[in-house]
Amino acid sequence: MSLPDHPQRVLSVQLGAAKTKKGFWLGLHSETLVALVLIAAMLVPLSALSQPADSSSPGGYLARLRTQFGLSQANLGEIDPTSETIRLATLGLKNIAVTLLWDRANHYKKVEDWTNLSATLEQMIKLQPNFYSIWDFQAHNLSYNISVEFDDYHDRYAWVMKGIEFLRQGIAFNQREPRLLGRMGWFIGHKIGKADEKKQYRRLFKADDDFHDRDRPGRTLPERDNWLVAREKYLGAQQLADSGVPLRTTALIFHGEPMMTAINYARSLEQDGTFGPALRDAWTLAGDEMRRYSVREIPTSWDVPIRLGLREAELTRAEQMAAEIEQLLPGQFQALEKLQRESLTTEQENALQTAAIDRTEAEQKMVAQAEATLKVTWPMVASAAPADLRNAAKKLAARYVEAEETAEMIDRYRDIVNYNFWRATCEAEVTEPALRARETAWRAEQEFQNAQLQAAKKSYEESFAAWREVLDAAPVLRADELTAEELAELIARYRMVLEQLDEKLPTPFILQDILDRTSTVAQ
Amino acid sequence: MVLEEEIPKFSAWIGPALLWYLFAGSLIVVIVAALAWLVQSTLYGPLVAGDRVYRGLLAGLGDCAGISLRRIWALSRLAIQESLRRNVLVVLGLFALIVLFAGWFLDPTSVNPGKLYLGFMLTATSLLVCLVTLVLSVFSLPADIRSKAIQTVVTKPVRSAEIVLGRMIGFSIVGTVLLALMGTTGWAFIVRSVNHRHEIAAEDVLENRADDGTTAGWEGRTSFDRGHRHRIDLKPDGSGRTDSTQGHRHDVRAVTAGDATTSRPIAYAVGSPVGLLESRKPLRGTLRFLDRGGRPSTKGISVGAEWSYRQYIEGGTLAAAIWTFDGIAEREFANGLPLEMIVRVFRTHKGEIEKGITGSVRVRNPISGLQSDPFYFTAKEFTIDAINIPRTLAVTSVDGGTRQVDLFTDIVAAGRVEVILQCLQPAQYYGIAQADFYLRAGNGSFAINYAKSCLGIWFSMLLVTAIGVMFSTFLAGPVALLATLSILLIGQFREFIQRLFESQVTGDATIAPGGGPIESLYRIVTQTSITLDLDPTVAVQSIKTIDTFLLAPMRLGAGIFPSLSALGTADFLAGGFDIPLDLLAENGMETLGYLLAFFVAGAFCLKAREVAS
Amino acid sequence: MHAGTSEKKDSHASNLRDVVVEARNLSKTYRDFWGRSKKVALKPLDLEIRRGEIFGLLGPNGSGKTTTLKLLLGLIFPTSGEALVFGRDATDVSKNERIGYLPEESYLYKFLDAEETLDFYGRLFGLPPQERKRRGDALIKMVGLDRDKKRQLKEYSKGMTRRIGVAQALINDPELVLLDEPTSGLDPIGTREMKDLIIDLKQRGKTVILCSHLLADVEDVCDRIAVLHQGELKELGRVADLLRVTGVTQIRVNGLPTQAHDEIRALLTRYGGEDIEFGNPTTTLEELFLEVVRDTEARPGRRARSIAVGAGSQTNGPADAPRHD
Repeated sequence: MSLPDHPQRVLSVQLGAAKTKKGFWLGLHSETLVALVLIAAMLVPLSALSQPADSSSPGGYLARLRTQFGLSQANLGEIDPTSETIRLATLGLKNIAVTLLWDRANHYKKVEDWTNLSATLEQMIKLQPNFYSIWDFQAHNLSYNISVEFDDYHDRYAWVMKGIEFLRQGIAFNQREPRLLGRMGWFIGHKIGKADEKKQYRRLFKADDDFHDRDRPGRTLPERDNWLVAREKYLGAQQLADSGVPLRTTALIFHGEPMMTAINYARSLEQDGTFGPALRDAWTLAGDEMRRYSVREIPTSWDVPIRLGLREAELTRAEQMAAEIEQLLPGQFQALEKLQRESLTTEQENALQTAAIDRTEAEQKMVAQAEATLKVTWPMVASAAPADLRNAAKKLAARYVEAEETAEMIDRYRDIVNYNFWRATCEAEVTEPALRARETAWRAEQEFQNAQLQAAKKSYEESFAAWREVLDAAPVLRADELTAEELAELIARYRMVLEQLDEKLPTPFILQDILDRTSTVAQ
Repeated sequence: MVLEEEIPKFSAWIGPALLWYLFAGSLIVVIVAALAWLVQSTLYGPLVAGDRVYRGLLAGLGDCAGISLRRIWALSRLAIQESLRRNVLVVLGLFALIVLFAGWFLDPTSVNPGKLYLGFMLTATSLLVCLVTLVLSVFSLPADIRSKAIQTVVTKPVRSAEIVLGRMIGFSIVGTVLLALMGTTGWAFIVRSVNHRHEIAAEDVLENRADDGTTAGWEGRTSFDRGHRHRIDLKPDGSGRTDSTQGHRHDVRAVTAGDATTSRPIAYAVGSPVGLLESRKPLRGTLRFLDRGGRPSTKGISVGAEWSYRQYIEGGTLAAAIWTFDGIAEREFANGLPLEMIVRVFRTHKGEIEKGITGSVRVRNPISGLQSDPFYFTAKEFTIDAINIPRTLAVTSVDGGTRQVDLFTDIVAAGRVEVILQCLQPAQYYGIAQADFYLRAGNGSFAINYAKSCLGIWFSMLLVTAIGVMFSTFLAGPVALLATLSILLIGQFREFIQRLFESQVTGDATIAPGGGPIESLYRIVTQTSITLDLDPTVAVQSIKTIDTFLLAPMRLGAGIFPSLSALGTADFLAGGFDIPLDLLAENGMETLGYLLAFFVAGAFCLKAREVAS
Repeated sequence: MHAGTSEKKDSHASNLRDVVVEARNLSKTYRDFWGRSKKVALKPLDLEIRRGEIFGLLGPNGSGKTTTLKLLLGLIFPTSGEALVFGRDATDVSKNERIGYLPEESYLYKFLDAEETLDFYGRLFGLPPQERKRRGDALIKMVGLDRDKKRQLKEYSKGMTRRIGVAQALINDPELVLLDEPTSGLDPIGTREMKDLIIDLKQRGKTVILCSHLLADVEDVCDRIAVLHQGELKELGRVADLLRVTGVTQIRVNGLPTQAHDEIRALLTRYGGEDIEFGNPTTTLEELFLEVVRDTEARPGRRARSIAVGAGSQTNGPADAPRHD
């Protein structure tokens, strides 16, 4: 056999059916092809949904929604690289991660692991920096729920401030969110100024250089009152809302906050025993805020904005309109009334004549009908006017109705925020008798506590006299239950003083009306 | 720190643990053999199947006998070389980056930055090390099988057990080296990070004058650094300390130009933080209670907290919490008993806001009942307070006379002593848990404690590697990765799944509300709160039944799979406590058990597999 | 079934020691995930390979030769039948002590260099360090990689990879060497060296099993070959027998002048010789092979019997195998 040096001959056998199966196209499996087509098909709605906005087009649906609600990153506020990094790192599982973190935060709170709780909150907000509820809920958690777990009021204060600082972070991330500023105002005002530890908290807050340096450097010591700082926050929030940022809360209450903090400020001064010009200034401020609130346009559910202070003006306008119609159609109103009365049946007349309690059921019904008939309105008068005057009369009547309705609406809104009371308070408290009444009452209480009975008695009496003046000048306060109760407490201690001095409450007592009212309530 | 379960002594733990392990192991072998037989039976009939299973088991045993250390080491070396080739050291760069940018993630104003930094560093180390070894272990074998390099190896006299073990060991060595490097860096980072100083400006300090006009000391505050400042309180001689903020305090000394007692300080020297990065070695006792009438009780009062870790005792009554400490030797506590404690307060009324709630501590002879006069203190919550019980104690007898006794001659009996805690203010409560009172038997080194904590991470790393290799013997790389992660995830939710199952079986929704997977889905879709009971319609009943069947294997899995977080000892480290050797030993044994199981499973799977199909 | 089955049983007993590899009714069917048959890779095969033989497994791609090799190595498990190597089951790891295997494309770790590679495989055989070093150096020298021994395998050319593959297969001085496509990727010189090596192995008393679709390799070095196609054994026997063309006489002469041709032609014609040709012979093995393939495809399932090489060569089997004792 030969062993020739021939080149290698490689055997290659064609393996029958080569790769020419059907379902192949452009070298792709049919499944791959279907998947590709599906992916392409899904990209179409996706682009319609999420095309970003640019100068020439408003972008896709999501982009438009973002613009509409002011949600685009650049609009929201500070962009934190860490936050962005972490969000990217979750690979689209952001919301799941937040849910897990929320769960962990609850766990850490349960097992009182405050360090990890804070760290978890920190991570959570890094993931969802533009979610109002997280900021609000967790800040509340820190300031209200965790702070009370500590026994030392220094610690408690520290946690209250942690909640407030948490909100500050939130504000940095959400510069177009007035609600967060509002919450900060609320925490600084109410948590510090109304808690059981308010005395300590207010003291610590005033001395908290670190907070004030961070918040607004150069704040003077008197300005460091928590209520004044809270007012600053509310004013900031208000300013933000006025700049056109959507306010996702009740405007009526939101805009009342500066006034309320000013009032609380003045009240806190009274409780601290700060009187004189400082207190008068405080109440002047409260009055100013009240007036600002009164003339502020408040949106209503009827699309017509109102101003709380304009009820009286609206009523005057209504009267004016009525007078103008009267002038246009002299005596027509009475004439119409007369006409209506004459249209009543005898039964109706009789029913009307019967005393209210003696009326039978049928009579009551008849009275109701009669009264409806008898009710004459200016539009009715206008409708009944002669043809040449009717148009003018109708216009006037419409304006009359409008004024009446606005006044009524204002009235309803006033009730919601107890406007009448606060206005009366602001007006009354700034007066000299009121300032005197408060100061003497405080002095009386101090003297009572120090067992200086004669001095206390005198101070109480001075206070009551001043109060008399205040109440006489302010009927709203006179009718107010809270004021009455407050006074009743004073009177009760005055009585204790008198008892210890073996004296009786003088009759008639100078605040007898208050005493009568509260004793009725007590009974 | 919180210690919800007592750490058993290793000597007491090991016996039952081993028995349980043997039992579980044999059970698994039996189950696997039965399953294999069933599968084979469908293919070859019961007899052949039986023969195959028997031969398989026998061959497995034979393989174990033929294992050679030299070959294992060769394969381990290969794994290490492979890791190096995959540029595994890049992860060190990543770690360095994390350390550099740690400041981004960490809040220096935190209540306890030391704890936060430790937690962060240990988590980062553990995540990185485990992730690296996981990726290495999971992709290595499948890559070899795909590249067919495995064929060259298995045609050598190599047992599948050796291949599996070689990989496990090799990658573990890589992980160990990484861990050692990261651990050292992390430790240095923490020590450097938490160490800080404050300045004290002269205008921030006010002098206190006594009535006679002499200096009674100074009071003031330090500068604001790292998110906090301290209040300071100096004695007339110019020495003193700050208050405890963020878990530490500093020693402060006034520097005066002339005589310390007469001249005004011109500057203040603030020392390094004290109380951070400690490693307390506690001697713990057992806790029992007396109720308000002084009757023994196993529990205190619940004040309605969701977490029942701490029990409460009522102040101003006979209620007391009594710890019994055992094994107290005179030479160890020659200067008395350094008692440390954390006491929670629950007020039923505000009381005096500016004053804390006072309590007393007494020591008592458990045999004679002789007890010392009380030591008074004010509860400081969430921080460790210390009372040193001196050698010489005052004892007031019934007749009112006071005499001095010696702690060891009169109070400690047979190495045992009782410590009695009472709250003194009526209608206020003290909350305590057993671990809240202890005798500080000594101080360990923080560095060693940190190393111990890294040992915990090491265990996790070994487990992750073993699980990864085990899955990679029969799954493709990415699938093995997911499988390993799932196992770890199930381990993480071990307790939750156990509770869920219990709740499902007992029908008691308070254990874990919301039901099983389908019920949860139903609730999500119908937007029903988890606390709301569903109407027992047929549909709901069948959902619950299916859920029970779905939960059963999950429960089983949760019982079998390891929980990495259970191996974590960061709590000890962060709380400033020495990590008990017993705990480490137990964790180590548990890890070893798991390793063995995963090794056997991996070897078996690889052997049963055609590596060249 | 193969014709040699009945003879094999007798010889089995008498030559137990000499039978290095034995396949009994060995078959392999690949299944999909659900256990359904996907592909029959090897139909029941009986085979015996004796000590000192060079045995060639021949067939086109996908014919089952690599499957057979893998079954013999225990890399895959048979669907039925058994494969015995040194009298032990092929899945028994201990047989590997005496085996050297060169996989198809030298499946080695690319991140190791030549020395490390040999050291690694040496360790797997439990060789002591000095021995590993000695054998490693010798083998590297033998395969001619002395100058490149410190380079990582990923930098190696295909030929160099084959060489290091051969070296690792011989690290344990095996008794049985299995070579999967030993000459693929080698240049003519490399091919030649490989063949010399195979023959050298035989001379040192080793048994060699090689599978290839490079016909020249098989022809030149194999004592016996098996031809597989579509998982079925088609031919088995001594290469010489299989290739003997009866009725044709071939004369090879060196240095014959051209003018002698006519004289010789005349002489041959006188003896009745026909179709006298002068020139180089073609690779008859290739012809044989193609014949087998063509026949199988024309009449599937039928064994090719009466092919041009003649029926006399068809009766073959282990009994006919050459002895090299």
